[in-house]
Formats: sequence, structure tokens, C-alpha cells
Amino acid sequence: MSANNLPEFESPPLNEVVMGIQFQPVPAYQQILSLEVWQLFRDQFPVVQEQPPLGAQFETFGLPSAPQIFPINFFSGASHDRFWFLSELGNNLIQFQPDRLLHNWRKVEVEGEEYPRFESILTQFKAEMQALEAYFVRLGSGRLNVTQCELSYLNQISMPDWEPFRPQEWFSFVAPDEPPIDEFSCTAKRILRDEEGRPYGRLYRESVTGADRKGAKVLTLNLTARGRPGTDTIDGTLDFLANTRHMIADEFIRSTTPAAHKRWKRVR
Amino acid sequence: MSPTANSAFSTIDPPFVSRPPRRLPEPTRLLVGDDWAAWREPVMQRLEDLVQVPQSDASARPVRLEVAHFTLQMLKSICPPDTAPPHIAAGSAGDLQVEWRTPSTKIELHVMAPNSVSAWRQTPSLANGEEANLTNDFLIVLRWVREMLDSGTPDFGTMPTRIFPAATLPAETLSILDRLAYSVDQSVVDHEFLEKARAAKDQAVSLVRRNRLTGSPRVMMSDDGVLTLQWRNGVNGGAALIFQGDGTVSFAVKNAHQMYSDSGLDDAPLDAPLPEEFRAALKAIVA
Repeated sequence: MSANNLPEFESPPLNEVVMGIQFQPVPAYQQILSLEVWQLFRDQFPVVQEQPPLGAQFETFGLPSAPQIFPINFFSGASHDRFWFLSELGNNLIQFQPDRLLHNWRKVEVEGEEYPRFESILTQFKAEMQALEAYFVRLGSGRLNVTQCELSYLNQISMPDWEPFRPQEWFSFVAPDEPPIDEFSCTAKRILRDEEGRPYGRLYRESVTGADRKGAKVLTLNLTARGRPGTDTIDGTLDFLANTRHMIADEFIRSTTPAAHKRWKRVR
Repeated sequence: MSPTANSAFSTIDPPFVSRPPRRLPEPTRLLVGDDWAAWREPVMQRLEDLVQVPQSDASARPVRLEVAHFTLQMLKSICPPDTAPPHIAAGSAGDLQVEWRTPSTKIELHVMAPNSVSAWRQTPSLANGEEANLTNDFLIVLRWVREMLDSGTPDFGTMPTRIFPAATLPAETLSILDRLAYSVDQSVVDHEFLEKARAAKDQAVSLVRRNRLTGSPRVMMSDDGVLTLQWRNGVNGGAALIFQGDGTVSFAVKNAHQMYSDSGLDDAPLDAPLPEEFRAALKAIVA
């Protein structure tokens, strides 16, 4: 699937896009310097919030990966917050902690605010990675050494009420003759392999019923690609994100029904 | 709503955690399936201790958190539930060594950094051992572990664990290996030579590890993927190893009577013994 024939919808269920990297922490960076990191992005992201840090995640291959019920964190004494740097509208945010940089776009109900498209977010994320790398170099450390990349698309399908529903109206991976159900949860993983067949990442497809922030019932379809980039640099990250974006688009089309595409007004 | 693949969605409100518990809470469950793993609890406790406790050598770096996380994830990929907990030791550069030893089998995994693992095993049929340099694909080590479990070795299996503490590599050897782990700077090596550079690094790791080389060599990678380890002794003495990534190694020695270019042995097989001249020069430098 080339960039020109990616599927397109007038009314897609897309609610949030996240692209991010995990990298080797830079020894010279300490939490007290987080203000300097915020200064890199403050013009566009003037609001700051503190969040608990994300645990390290690595895709490895051998035995099938089991779901992690509880996040595992080792503590060596000092801990470091995760910072959210938010745009004024709140539709774009940067997440930063000593081993992570992520950029989220999320849908907001504001007139004229539309999904800015993957290329636009990627361009912005590239500039953010470069700014952070240049900052670390100024601190006396080396470049960003990327250990994992990830790209996620979170789709939210609004359900009309809390009555039983038929997920097969939306998802092609549910048998057509399944009776209506009240709640739904389904996860599938596919190993991503390079041209020589060597595994480097996984594509996760997760769907679950839940509630949106106003309490309305929603059915989510979360597609995440995560893995080791071909090279551990910013360029390697950009390649990973560009490639897996096509895989996610392909998976989205494959796992949703033509009827759903019609409701979302597919134009390509 | 809690997507498990990605905890970074901004719409998810994670519970506030001031400090995670030392032990994982045990979920309430009625069925005990095959997913309970005997090795997990002692391994997690050991890793937690290693990231918290300062090493005995004051100059050593503490075990890096990302190395501990990666090691745990690696073990999840290679340890079936009946695997005994391995012996885990800290290296001198924030790295970790993971080892199993039974009367018939040795498996050693040196986790230098996330996506950088040197694996080695020895069995009765592999007297000289076999090794592999790995990133995040551990299928080969899973096979080694399963063979170890299948061998039915006494004292090894479900829980019991007479695991002999393994002698770790010398601290200086680990330090060299740690520097080698970072020798392939992908922003410096020309893209077309990256594979060659990675091969050169892997072959250097094998040779340094097998020969337990010590000292503090300079590690230099050229933009065309040639890796050189150089031990220096003032201005007149030196010893060098040069790896082209083609399965061979070149040796060179410098002293008061000869330059590097006048000495040495080119393109020797990697598994050949170190030349006596090189060995003597290195011994003099390290001493």
C-alpha cells in the first residue's frame, strides 16, 4: 500500500495518534533540568502537567509474550516524573521522561480542528526529537540512542446506548452469526519481520468496550506497532514510523467491515 | 478502558503511584494455569537488589535501570515456567551477566545494553562452546534453555536449584565489552558499511570474551566499518587488534624497534590462538 492509496474517510473514528521513542537515558540529565527541556517546546506547548513515569517496554522474541497484568518498575532511589507539555487547545502534547519522548495528537471538539494527517505529526515529531538530541549534546552527552519506537492509532466507535450490540457490524474478525453481547474485549498480536525474516517488532490490535470521558459507551480499536528500529538513530525512527503506518492502515481496513467503512464515509 | 499495548495514550488516566510495591500483588484467581513461573520472583528480587545496592567497587557504575528492564523482558522470552532462576551478577559498567550452570551445561548471557546481548553456551557435545550476538530475538537461547531442561540434569528443573555461582568475567573484560557495545555509532558509520561494522563488533566481542582480554584499549570504529582496539603504553609501545567484519582479525604490535605496519599477522582466523608476540606485548602493557 503506497502513501497515495492509503484509505481515507470523511468521518473516521480516529480519536488519538501517538508516536514515540524509548532511548537510553543520558547520564548528564537530571530532573532539575526538566525546565530546560520544556523551554525547547514551550512556545507551542505552554501548559505543563506532571504524570507518573511510564515503565520501560521492550519487544523481545522467544516464548510468546504474555499480557503484563501489573506494570513492573525497578527503583534505584531517585525517580523521575513524566511531563506533559500541552498545546493551548490541548489537542497536541509532548510526553517526556528521561528515557521517553512521545507526541500525541488527540481529537478535540473545536470548530475547524481536524486530524492534521500523519505526515504533519511526523514532521513535528522529527523536529522535537532533533531539538532534544541537540539539547543532550549541549549537555555533553551523545546523540539519542533509540531502543524502541512505537506508533499507535486509537479509534473510538460511539455506541448508541448501553444495550447489547453486535461487534461484527464493525469488526470483520467476529463471526457474523454471533449473538449480541454486552461487553467486548479482544487482542491479537502479529510479529513484524524484516526482509530477511528476522523479527523486530509486534503489531497489536486491541478492541474493548468502555466509556468516553462523558460516560457514553464506546467501542475502541487500538492499533499499535512497537519494536526496534533498523538503526538506533532519528533516521531509523522515521523509517520505522513511516513503514508501520502503512501496516496499521492495512490492519485497520482488514479488521473492519465494509459496512463500517460506509458509515465512516470512505472516499478511497 | 485500558489498552495494554500502549500506556502512553493521553486519554488514559493512570493511577497515581508514589512508589511501586516491592512485590507484585497477586491477582485473585481460581485457576492455576501454566503461566506461573518459578524463576520470576527470585529474579525480580535479584534485579531489584542490583539496581538499588551500590556495587562493592566504588568506581563501578550501578546496574542501569534499562538494562534490568531489558533483562527481565529477555528472560520472559527464554524461560519456560519450569526453568530454575539463573545466577545474575552485575558487571562493572552498568551491565548484567545471567548464567545457568549445571553439571553438563553452561549458558551465559551478557546483557551489555538493551538490544545488545552476547550469548554463549557449552555442553558435552560442544566442548569449545558456541556463541551468538543478539539484539531482541532470543529464539536460539530459548532452544538452549529447552535443551538444558530436556537433558533432565539432576538438580535442575522445577524449583530446586543447585545453581553453581559462575565465575564472572574480569571487570576489565566487561568494561571492554561494554565499550564495544556502543562502538557502532550509526550516525558515524556510513550506511552502506553498517552491516560490516556490526559484524566487526560481534567478532571483536567474541574474541575479547573468549580470550578474557583486559586492560583499557581505545575502541575506534572507522566510517567504513573497520574496528580497531588499541592498547597503548607510552609513545613507543602498543598492541592492536583490527576487525574487518569478515571473520578474520589482524594483529599489530609497536615497540622501540618496529612500527605497527612492520609487525603483526594479517587476516588470522578469529578462533586461532593469539600470536605470542601480541600476547607478550599486551601482557607488558596491562602489567
